[in-house]
Amino acid sequence: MIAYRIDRHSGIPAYVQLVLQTKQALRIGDLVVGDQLPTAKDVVGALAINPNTVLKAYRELERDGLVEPRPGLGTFVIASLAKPGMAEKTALTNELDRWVAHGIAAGLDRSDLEALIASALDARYHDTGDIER
Amino acid sequence: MIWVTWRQFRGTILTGILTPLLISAVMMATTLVLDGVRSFGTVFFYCFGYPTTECVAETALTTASLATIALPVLLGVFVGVTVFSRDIERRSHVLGLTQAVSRRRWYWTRILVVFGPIVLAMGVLGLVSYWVRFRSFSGAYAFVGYFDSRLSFPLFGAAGIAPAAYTALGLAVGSALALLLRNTIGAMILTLVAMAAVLLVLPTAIREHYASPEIEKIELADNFYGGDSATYSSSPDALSQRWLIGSDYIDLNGDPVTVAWDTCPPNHDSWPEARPEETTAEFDARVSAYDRGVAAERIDCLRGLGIDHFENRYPPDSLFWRFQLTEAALCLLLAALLAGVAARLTRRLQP
Amino acid sequence: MTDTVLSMTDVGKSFRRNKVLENCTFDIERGSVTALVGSNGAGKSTLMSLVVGLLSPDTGQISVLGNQVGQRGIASGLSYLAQHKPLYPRFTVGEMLRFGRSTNDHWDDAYASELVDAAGVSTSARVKSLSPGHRTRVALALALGRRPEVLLLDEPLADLDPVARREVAQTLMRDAAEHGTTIVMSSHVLSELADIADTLMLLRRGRIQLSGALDDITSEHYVLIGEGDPSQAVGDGSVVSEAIGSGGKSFVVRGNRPASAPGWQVDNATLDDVVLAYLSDRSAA
Repeated sequence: MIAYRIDRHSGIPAYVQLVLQTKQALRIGDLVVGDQLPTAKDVVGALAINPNTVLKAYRELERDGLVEPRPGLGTFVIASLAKPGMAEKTALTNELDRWVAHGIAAGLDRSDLEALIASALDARYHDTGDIER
Repeated sequence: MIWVTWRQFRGTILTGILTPLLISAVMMATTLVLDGVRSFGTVFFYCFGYPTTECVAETALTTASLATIALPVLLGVFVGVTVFSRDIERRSHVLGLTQAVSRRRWYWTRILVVFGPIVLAMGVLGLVSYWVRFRSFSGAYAFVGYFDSRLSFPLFGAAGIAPAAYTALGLAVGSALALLLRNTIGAMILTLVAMAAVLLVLPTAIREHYASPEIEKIELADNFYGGDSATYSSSPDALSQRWLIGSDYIDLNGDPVTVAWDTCPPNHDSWPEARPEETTAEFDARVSAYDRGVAAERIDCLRGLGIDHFENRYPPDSLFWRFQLTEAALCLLLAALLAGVAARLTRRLQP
Repeated sequence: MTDTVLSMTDVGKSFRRNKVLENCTFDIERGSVTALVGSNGAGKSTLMSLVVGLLSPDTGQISVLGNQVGQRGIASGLSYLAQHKPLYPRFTVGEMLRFGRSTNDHWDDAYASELVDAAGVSTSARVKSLSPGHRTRVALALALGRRPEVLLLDEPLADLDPVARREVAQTLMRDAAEHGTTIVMSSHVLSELADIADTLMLLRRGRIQLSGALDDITSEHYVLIGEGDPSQAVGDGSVVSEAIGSGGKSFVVRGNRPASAPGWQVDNATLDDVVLAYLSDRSAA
């Protein structure tokens, strides 16, 4: 179950914060497909915000194809943002950290390291034609 | 709405009902005590403060009678006013007027639930008071009324249906003033003044007009001492229990004549004095002769002013219940008018 | 499609030659949460009293849920919580609920009891022993027990501690979410309203100066920061006022944001900026 929080001083509109928190929860697996999002009543009852704010956030998530409202039942998650292998990510992060340490030890500075990474990424994405280009 | 009104004012309602009922109970109890002790009434002045049974009973009865006279005013001030002013001063009338109850219903429920029972309790008090006083003879058992007619103040207002009618009026006055002034103390003071004025004006100026009075005609030759003097007032056998509303010398045209006290004899102080050699009987005879002489002079003098006879006007005691109904109707009519005014004031009541 | 639940047309009200409200015209849409903002004495309470039928307007018309407001008392889909949160001091809370039951045709006793329960108030407590926060929640339970379609609240959060304010706000929002209740609340404290309200109505000197969706209003205004006379930089916009305390260096302007203004810094206007500018003494409005 997700517990929303609103930071009133962040400058980010409340409904955007809800959307971002929902997406984050989907990414890290706190919300999975089939889970029900909290009702507007429960959200505003906890946060004391306008119910339209919640409805706006849920509509946006629906537009993004992540949730769908089922009349009389609630709003349910229909897609996941979780990328497989969080554990792999941890391993990759550690590996990257070691590589950076090697580079520094070899005498490279930050811009050198960035240039190396950028050209490696360019080579990859240019070759396989991924959409990110 | 009925429950709400009862709950809001149950203290007031109970006080307003129990006070007259308590006084009624006291009256009945003391009467029964006195019944066992005496077979006729006695005068208060001789008894105040004495701890004997009859005196205590009499004091209690007197106090109860005075309370009966004062209650309509007190109820008007402390119930009639507060029933609305408490709400208004606290501004909680806003709560009552923003539910699904119309202003009219809000007002009339309050009047019926609070004022109704209190007026009825005062009715009981009035009837008990009547029974207590008048079942043997007028004015029995209390200092007030031994020499008074039951048509006059204060007996009239303390018995029968008058107390209930006065109370209805007092409550109506109090509530109308509370809605008008929105100030508790001001409304209370004005209610007190208004009711005191009403209770003053009724016996002195209005009651006498409920029926045309009986007229007792006293010829100039027949007077108080049967010829030995020439002063005129009520016949001696009607000394008590007659409410005199007017007495005048009447001339030949039937119009009243005002005569200054010293216009006709006796206007000198030369009463006969006892002579040492006279016996009492001789002196008495001489005084009688003197009086007759003066009386004859007086009658001639009065006749000379055009006076034909002396007249006493009074409503007969038997009209008591008719007068009660008339006065009650008057008060209730006035109360109804004021209640209508107060109902209209409720419509204009601001938050 | 707009569903107007409350509207005023050209309403005016005076008290003894004192014009409290003048030419007031607005519509409130169903489901909106409107913040009625204005300085003390601006006429907020008078406006609410008029809607609720406690006062009659001198001019103009008021209609609630399609019916004209008259002397017949409060409209049946409307509830009102006055500023002084009137209750009967010697009643217990339970008796206050019974009052609500006795004086209303459509009364949801379960809902009202639940609200009182949720506030942690015992039904046997006497009203006069309640704290201001509890008093407000009981009074609110009475208003909501009528299951209104429109709820008017006159400064409901005044005199409350932060915890109580939050709890009252939560209760209101929960009711709005669950029942679609339209809410109009007056306040002169903006920060509380910013999260709750989606519509703003600003009352100044008895007139409605601003009325509309909160987001629209803030986006229609911007702030100019700099020295000098701002009237050259605004184009066809209009300067509302100098921002309070800025010492002549910051101005709130209504109009289209210029792409750039030489000598001036252009900034977004917050709700606070806008409201304070309109309520300020130096407002040009």
